[in-house]
Amino acid sequence: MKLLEIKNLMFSYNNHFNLEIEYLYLEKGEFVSIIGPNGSGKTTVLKLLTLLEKKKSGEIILFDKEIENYSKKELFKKISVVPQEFFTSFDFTVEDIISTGRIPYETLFSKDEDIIIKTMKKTNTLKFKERVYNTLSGGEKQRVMLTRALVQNTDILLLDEFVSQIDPGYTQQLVRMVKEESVKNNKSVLSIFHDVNLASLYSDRIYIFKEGKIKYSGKPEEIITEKIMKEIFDIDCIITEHPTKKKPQVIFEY
Amino acid sequence: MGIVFIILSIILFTSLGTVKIPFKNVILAFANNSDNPLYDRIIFNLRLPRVIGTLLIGAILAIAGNDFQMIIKNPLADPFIIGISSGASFGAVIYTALKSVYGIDLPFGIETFAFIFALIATIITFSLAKEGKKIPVVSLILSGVIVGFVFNSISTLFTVLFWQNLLHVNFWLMGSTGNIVWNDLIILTIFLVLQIAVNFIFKKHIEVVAMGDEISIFSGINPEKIKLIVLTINVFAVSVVVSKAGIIGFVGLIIPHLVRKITGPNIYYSTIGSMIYGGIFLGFADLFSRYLFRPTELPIGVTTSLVGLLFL
Repeated sequence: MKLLEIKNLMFSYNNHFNLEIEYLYLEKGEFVSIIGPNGSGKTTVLKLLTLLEKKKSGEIILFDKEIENYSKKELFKKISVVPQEFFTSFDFTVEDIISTGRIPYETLFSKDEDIIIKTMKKTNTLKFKERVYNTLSGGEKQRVMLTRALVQNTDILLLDEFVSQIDPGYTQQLVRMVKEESVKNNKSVLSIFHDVNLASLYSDRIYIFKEGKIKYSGKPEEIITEKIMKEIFDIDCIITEHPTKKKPQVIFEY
Repeated sequence: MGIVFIILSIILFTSLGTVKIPFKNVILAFANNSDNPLYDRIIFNLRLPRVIGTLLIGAILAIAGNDFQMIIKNPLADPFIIGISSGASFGAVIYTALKSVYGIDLPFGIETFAFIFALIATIITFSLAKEGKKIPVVSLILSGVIVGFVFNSISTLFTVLFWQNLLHVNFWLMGSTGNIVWNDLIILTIFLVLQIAVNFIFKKHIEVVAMGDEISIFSGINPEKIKLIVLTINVFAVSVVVSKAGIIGFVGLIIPHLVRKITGPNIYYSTIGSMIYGGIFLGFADLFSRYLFRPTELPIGVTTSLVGLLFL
């Protein structure tokens, strides 16, 4: 079942940058990645999906309904987001931040304590519930932001290069957590990655963007090739196979 | 504990002044059991409305400061610094000029005039600071200071031009709670209650807006709507304060900042903390202004600014 479809979409930033998406879709339970060079329009897709930007023309269909017809609260019961990084000027606690994920569901006196605690246990963030968010390490912060998105209990999870500033150990841990959500709880994930190998390892399908267009799409083993990498990133590389996961991995030449 | 604190400070503030009234007599007077009619008159006609008014004003200004700091996401914001107080004060001066110099009968009260000009000052400050879709904090503070200066200068000009009819320029530009009467306490209380109500009703929303615009949107909230609600109620409350007591700076800046150091950004605790400590702080500032310099007074805005200096 297709939860999300983008058809013939056009968007531009003050005529400087154009984004054109003929067709992009996301099925239930799928882990799909978007990769591509800087300025290729990856993050813009995410902005259009969260209505931070308004498309010029075309359709974005979410559960058989045009996305612009959703109220903000309804939309964020379907979609949750983990941003690249999150910074706040005040000393909010981890729990303060995670509980904002329940705002779309709030009624005047609802508390949702249970789902918050349950999710924090699952992501192992309960131990720093009372800690001030700003005092956490980068990896812990992103774990909190992922927990925040999970308490939102949405069918679709959008990740915006959410591990791009995180060390390798934490990166694997976080992406694995997301993968598990996708496999066990049938969540659909649309993730923007900088790291091609990470995208290849975890994704069911990949879209490769360049200059505001989808250049390639398909399974990792179909489109992570030396020729395509050269075309997209303008760099020579060798493709090997991951010894256990059997997915293509890129080794760059220099 | 806060309530005990407030009651004790009301007794203290009422007792001290040009005429010193012993604590015992203050308490007896409160208990309606006094045998000294002179003390009674001083307490109930002069001191008590001023003392309670000062507490209310300190509370309103500190809560407003806390709200501004939260929604603008900067601990430097306060109604004085972003030009709102100056706009309100200008409105009040215009009102007084029209009424007592030209004898024009105006359909609205001084509070409405103060509010209209406070709103104008706010709009000018925000539109000057706006760069595209964003409002950078540094520009906001800078344009607030500029707008504040401009309005204050025109206010000064007016008070000098019409000096024989208007209150002293110090009243509008440096503040005083000396003219507060019992009737003023009603409208001050109404706005304090409104402020607290807005903060409590929109607690989660104000907090998420303080965290950031993007996270608000990702939580299904329109941050601009929340900012507008919070800004409007506070601009109105501050205008009422300014029309009763002129511009009193720094309460809204320092108190919420210190309170949040203890309570954190939680809106329940920081609002209540700002209310209690803003009130008591301004009460002490007022006591300092009128007691140390008795029988004359130092403008209360000068006192709060001096204390503010200690923290900077």
